[in-house]
Amino acid sequence: MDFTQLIFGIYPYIALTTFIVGSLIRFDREQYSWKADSSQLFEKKQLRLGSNLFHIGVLALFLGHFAGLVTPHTWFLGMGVSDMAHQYIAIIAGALFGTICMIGGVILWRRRMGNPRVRANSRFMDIFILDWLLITLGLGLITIPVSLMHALKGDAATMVYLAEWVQSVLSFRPEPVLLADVGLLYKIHLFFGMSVFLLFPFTRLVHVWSIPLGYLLRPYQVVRSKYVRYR
Amino acid sequence: MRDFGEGLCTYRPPVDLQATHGIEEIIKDKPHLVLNWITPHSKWGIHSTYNDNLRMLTLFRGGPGVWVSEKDARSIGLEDGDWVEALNTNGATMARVIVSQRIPEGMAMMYHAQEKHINTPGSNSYGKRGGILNSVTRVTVKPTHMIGGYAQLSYGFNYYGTVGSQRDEFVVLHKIEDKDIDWLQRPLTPEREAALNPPEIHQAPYAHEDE
Amino acid sequence: MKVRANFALVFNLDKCIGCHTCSVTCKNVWTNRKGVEYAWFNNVESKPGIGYPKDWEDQEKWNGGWVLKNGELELKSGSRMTRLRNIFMNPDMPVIDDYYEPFTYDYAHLQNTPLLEAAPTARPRSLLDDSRMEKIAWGPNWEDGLAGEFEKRGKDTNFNDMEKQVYAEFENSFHMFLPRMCNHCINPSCVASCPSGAMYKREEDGIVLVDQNKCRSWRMCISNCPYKKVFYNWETGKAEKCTGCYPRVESGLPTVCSESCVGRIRYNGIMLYDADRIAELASLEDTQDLYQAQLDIFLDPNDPEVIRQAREDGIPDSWMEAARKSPIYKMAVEWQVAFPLHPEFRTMPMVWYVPPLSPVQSQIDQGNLETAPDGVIPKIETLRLPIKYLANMLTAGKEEPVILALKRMIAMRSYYRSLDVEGKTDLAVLQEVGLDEAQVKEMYRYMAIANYEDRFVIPTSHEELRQEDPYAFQGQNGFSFGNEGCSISSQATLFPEPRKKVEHVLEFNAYVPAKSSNGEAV
Repeated sequence: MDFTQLIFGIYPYIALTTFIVGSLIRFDREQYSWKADSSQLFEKKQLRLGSNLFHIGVLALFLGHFAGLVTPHTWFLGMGVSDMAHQYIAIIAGALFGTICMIGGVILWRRRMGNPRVRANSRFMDIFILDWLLITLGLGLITIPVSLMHALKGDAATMVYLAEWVQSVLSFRPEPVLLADVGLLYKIHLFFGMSVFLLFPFTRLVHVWSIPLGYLLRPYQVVRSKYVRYR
Repeated sequence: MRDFGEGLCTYRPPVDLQATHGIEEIIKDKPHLVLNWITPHSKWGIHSTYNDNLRMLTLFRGGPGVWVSEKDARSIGLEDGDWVEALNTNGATMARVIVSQRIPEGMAMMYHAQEKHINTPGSNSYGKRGGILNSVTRVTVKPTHMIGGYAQLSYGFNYYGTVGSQRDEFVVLHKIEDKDIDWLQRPLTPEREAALNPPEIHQAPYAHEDE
Repeated sequence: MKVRANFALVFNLDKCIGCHTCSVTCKNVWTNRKGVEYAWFNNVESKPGIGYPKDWEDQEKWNGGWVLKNGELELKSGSRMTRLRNIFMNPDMPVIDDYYEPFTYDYAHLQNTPLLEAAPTARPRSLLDDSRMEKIAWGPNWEDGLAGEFEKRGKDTNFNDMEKQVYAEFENSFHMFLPRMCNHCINPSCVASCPSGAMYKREEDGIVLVDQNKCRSWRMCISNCPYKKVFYNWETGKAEKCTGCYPRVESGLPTVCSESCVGRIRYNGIMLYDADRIAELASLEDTQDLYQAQLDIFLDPNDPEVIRQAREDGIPDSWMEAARKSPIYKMAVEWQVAFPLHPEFRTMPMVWYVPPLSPVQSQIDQGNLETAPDGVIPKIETLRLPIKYLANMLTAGKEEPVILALKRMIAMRSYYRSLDVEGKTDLAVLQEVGLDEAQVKEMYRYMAIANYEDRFVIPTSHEELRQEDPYAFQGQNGFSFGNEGCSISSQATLFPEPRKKVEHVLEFNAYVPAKSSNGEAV
């Protein structure tokens, strides 16, 4: 088994399994630790800009990656989106939201490392995962000029390979060989990105699962009864 | 004790201007107040009991405080929470000032038993640890105090102690800038010890009279 | 009609001496932990003052409580969507400096420091990041006894619509204590604001709690509670609040703050209310009607119709009996001497307050103040506390109910003075305020004598209705967090929990003097 096979054939499944099983175990066993773990009580001004920019950016990036990579190639063509159009959309949206996210992330990082109260009460994992996300994001931003050069040459092959590799992994027929011609920069970004899923259940990121959309539908007041007869 | 006239006031010699000269030197051109010094029991403690634990210190202002009226404070530019030094010929005490409308003009009040082992910086004028409420008071003992049943059992005009005379005190109060606060945490070396020689002002006014 | 019972309290401010025993016992029981050392589920404020946290009453600043929008109740912080939009950063949330920076002292320094040029002193150190605090800037009770300039304390919103500068003078200064805890509201805005549904009101006794396992630290409750009585535990990342001492109350014991109150000012009891009328009565147009609205929502436990409906709604008979003996019902409804704190927040709070009388005894003795014909009992006009101030605090500014309550308290004194001193009863004073002799005797028993069994009428909870299988409760640990007590070791966990090792004894942080270059200890 070669290195490519290990990282792009097996590692994705290790990461995804850990992501799902780890989250389930933590949700079942460690509800008390399931939280966004806000540090807003210590500092508010930097958080206002940093957190909003970071979250808007990262949510858009996640949805963009998901739509761009998981949607089958034929669907895009069926919708009349050519590969080149797809690539330009990806570049522009990625650059825009990547930059927003990066600005927010850097503000958050400076806050976490620079504010003595926040710094003193950061766990190892809080700092580690923030660093990891920022590196992943940085790598992603560096690939944009490369992609732009591809696009200017009218070459969408890398993008198509990446999407097909993701779909091959998700359909349990991994084909690492698809990435043979993809640049090293993309591969490093992929590795860091996959590792986010691996790290996910062991960090505060689990709060992503708990986006409280149900709140919009719920009546305002919550009353609980402990007497059996009302159950 | 009351038969010996102890209900009456105690004679205290008038303020010795020679002794207070040192104070003038210290405060020179600084804005300052001369205030009556009142030292009542605090609402939370019986002498030192209960006052100096973390919980109770948290529940008020976390260290010694001197109450001053708003008008007096304004007149020398004091703001609530500033460091102040209250001093006279007996000694000095360092505390944060508490500006309050419930204090009438002309008096300063410091509650009992705010110990100097908590959050008390050095006195800039005397070079010693800031002191407590009684650092600026002085007892005047009389021969009749020696006849038994004295001290805490004796009657005093405004104090249930020897006599009330030590409570009739005045202090000079002035602001200490934050940057001038000295916590006196340098190790004691022979040179330092020599430098700590008490200044002139430490000599009691009464010593002169006897000579 | 839907009958529900609510655990309720009355604080008789007329007897509060501001000793903070309630705060201390509460703190020792509930918040003597890292992360909530700054949180006082119960605190006592000196009024006038801005309180703890700073300016908590100013809802223009914190956007707590409810408002009317097109005749409908809505949280002042906006719609549900607004709160979800603000979930990354809650713009209304106070930061810790609005409460105060918790501190300890270098106590160990007093014992282990080498010989210094002066006796050592223990300097304060922050409990947030262990850094040196040069100056303690604020505390949970910074304004005790009118401490601080009037200009700062005068920001108190209870001065609204008043010429407050008069009260800045020494001669006109007034002062009262205001003990505060969670109001366990009938219409709680904290519960309504919680995006994850972790906060809830218990159906049986109305106590409002935070489900520690469901809280996701979205921290909306903290700003939406207009009383600022939900706190963020910065160590665990969860909201925590006054529990109404439910483990005690379920056993028929008063809350720990009430039990320990040396002035006997706290009353615990049960109130019945009509859960079907909450929305209707909390959304009256005029805020000055809200005090009466809350009186209207209460149900008379002696009314046969209420008794019948209560049985249908599952209120146990022992609870009905307690509701009939409730000291809260007597003071709030029968004698109308107790009032809710800030009814204009529309949360329908269930901790009510008897306003303080404020006689100036030395002035009366000197004959400077107008009194009743007996020459001792002062007239209400001569009280030191401005009625408007009390009304702003207790009835959204409506003065008549507060005046009547104070008059009734004065009448009680007049009646008993004439009885004890002159040996005859003065019924005229009672007629004037609409009380009869039996009522005033009961008022005296409850408010002046305040025996333990009169102050605390608390029915035990009916656990037998709850436990399908009592054996299932075997091995359950009591009040603890997370998996503590169930796992093999609290240290061994796959997932990150404590930020760092918790110092169990906060007071005695080891002191290691750091040496700076010039050899001075810092």
